[in-house]
Amino acid sequence: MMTIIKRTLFILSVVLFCCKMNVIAAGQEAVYLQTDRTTYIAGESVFYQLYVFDLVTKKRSDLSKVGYIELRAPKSDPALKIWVKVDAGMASGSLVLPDTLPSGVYQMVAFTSVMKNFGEQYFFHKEIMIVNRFDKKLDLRSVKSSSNDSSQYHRTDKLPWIKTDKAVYGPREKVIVTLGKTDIKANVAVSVYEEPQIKATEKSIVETLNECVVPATKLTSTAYLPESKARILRGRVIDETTREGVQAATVFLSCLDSVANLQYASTDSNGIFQMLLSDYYSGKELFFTIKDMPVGQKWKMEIEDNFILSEKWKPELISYKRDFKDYIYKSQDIVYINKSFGLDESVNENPIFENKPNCPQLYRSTVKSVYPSDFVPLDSFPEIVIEILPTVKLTRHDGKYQAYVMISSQGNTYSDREPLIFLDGVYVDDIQKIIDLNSAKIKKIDVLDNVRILGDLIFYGAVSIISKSNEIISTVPAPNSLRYKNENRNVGKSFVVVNPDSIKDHHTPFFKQLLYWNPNLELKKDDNTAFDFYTSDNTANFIIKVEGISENGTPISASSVIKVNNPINVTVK
Amino acid sequence: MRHYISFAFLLICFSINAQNNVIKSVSEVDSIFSPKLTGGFYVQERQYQGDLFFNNKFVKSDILLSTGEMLYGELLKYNGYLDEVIWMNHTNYKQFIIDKAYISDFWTKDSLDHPAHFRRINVRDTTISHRDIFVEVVIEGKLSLYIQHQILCIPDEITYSSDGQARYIKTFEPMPLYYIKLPSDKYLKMHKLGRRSFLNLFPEQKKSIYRLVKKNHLNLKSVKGLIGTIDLMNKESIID
Repeated sequence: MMTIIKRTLFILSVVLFCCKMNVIAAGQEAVYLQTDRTTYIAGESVFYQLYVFDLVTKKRSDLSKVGYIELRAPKSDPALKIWVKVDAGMASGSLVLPDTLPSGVYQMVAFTSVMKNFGEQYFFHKEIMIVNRFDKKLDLRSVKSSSNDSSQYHRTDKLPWIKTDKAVYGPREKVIVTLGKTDIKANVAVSVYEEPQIKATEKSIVETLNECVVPATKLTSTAYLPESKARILRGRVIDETTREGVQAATVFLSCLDSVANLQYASTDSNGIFQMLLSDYYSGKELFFTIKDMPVGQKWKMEIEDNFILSEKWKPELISYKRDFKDYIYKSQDIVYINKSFGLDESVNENPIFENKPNCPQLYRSTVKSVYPSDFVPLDSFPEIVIEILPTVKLTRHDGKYQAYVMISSQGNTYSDREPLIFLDGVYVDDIQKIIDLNSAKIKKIDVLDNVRILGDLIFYGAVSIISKSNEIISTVPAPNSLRYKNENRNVGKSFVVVNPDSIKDHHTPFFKQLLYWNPNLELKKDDNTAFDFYTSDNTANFIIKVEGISENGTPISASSVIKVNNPINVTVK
Repeated sequence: MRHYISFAFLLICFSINAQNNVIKSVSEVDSIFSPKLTGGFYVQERQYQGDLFFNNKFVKSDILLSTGEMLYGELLKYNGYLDEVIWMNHTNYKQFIIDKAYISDFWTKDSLDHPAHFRRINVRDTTISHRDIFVEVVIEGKLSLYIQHQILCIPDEITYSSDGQARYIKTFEPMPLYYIKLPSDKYLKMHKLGRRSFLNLFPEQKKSIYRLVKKNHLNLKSVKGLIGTIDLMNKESIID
């Protein structure tokens, strides 16, 4: 009997342990970044498709809704930083490489917020070559790596098989590509690009997923939360004298708008506060203020950079053995020709927001609005209060003003607590900032004469001033305030296949190194998938590259080559 | 045996601890970033007779906000006189009227602990203007039935205290309104339950509804009978 109990207990615990190991990994992610090419000329667009995987199931992750991509050169700060909206484990778009980027090898780093908990070694890294359009010396070096040379392998043996209607095409000819059916529905990114004569090291999605390991690091109380709803902004309130985090401080967030808006968060025992940044805040300047900082205290706010990488990239660089200069010169010429003729029309702008984002409006109830332009001009805010705002009272002690609002629900008596003051939708950290505003500068004043609640915060009335020329921008933030520019999410452009027959002027050049890019092609379970595009006047070998993942988590990686020949040249030969 | 037990215990402890780490971080997102309710201070009525609320007790309720976000377990009660949702803030125990436009639906309980689902709908008032009202969702289908648990204040009653002073006491009485939503999204309003008033709402289908009511012995003077009738009308597709 004891033996049975003993064995059962042991088996149970082992099973439980194994199950829990899976749970530990749940919420742990890996990413894969597929780009349209591996070699670019500065000024071109990099089209990308980001896949976010669950490390346990290897399926696309539903957890993170935000992904981060950085581009950096060796031993340098990031040249580009973007964040993207991830939907069902996928995000696509493009980023324009600045014209001024110096030639060299660059690293693309991709990650999600939860991946930061386990260290940068778990981030996705990929090298691309960027050449400046005016660089003719071309002293390029590549990263010494044991990875595959992408230009060397064209696998067609793995699913999905790639079939073209021909093997060799002429210029401006239609190409029909068929991808074989898969066991289960899958999403793949497909690019057709000129085979680069320059070595590029990159891992396929299959290799990346096979090499993924589940990090064993234990989460701490300061761990990064998954951005499962929207982007999370983290900051810290610290005591400047002790450099320690301040617990239970309330931080206000608002931004420039025509309505008073407010969001708040409280700091934890480490002084960390976190705020959910909905699309409403995208691309806006954020105004943070520590509410009710005790007199005599020196508190400071720090906002964490979501992109921060702890170390610079220091790869071992080696010289190229193959001659690539002609290929690069041609690429530079093609970019130059297309720019000169304004032929960058193969890209379309995507819509920025699908839905209008919700503004965190402070009040929706009726307020008393006053337009100073309806009255005789008044020289300052105290004068405005006396003359046209009967429900507001200003007092002055030791040269400092204090405002009070008559609260209707308290028998129309002035509250003994100060109301919230807003200027151009932003919470004002110091009332002195509005004192000098006169009738000529103020467009509208809203007075909220009621006790209001926002979450757990109660406030006694509010005065919201909308100025004629966004006066809040020219105000200087108080020591307990901070301004922070919130980057817009990257949407980029989408690739459009150009039919050469649609070009009216036949003298217009038509040279392309990227013939096709589709970040999200759905492969069917029971039928082949076909797509088409056109060749250009650029005669070369073109790689058809397919990378993606099926619904059951099977990575898909395949490539093939087509040739574009000039028939005139062939005849001469 | 002792070693086996110790080893098993260690494994269990480790696994439970590890699980907590992840689950905590995932669920934390919802708790930390749960939407914050906004509203105005609620001034309570004093000295009145009758009930102002759908349920006089604050009940743990769930709210679907107009932003599409959910809030769970908030202490609410529906004031039928003001047609507003009163919220008891659990940190300061003060009562607030939640901004009406902020609420899409809420799920609460009546005085008998029966679940009740309320929704904010926009109906045409007698003043021709549209207004938002909270109604209890009773049936949802081709024909939907909503009940507005309206409370009306009847004229002040004068009572005299022992010292002979006159006192005006307000009396509140329930006066429910019944809204039937047609497939065309139009609302039909019933002030009083009854067979005639119900049949008059559907002049074209009057006869077929009459037969249906007769056949199934439905009493349209009761809410139960009204629910049964609309249910059957939906089943037999009397209204297209």
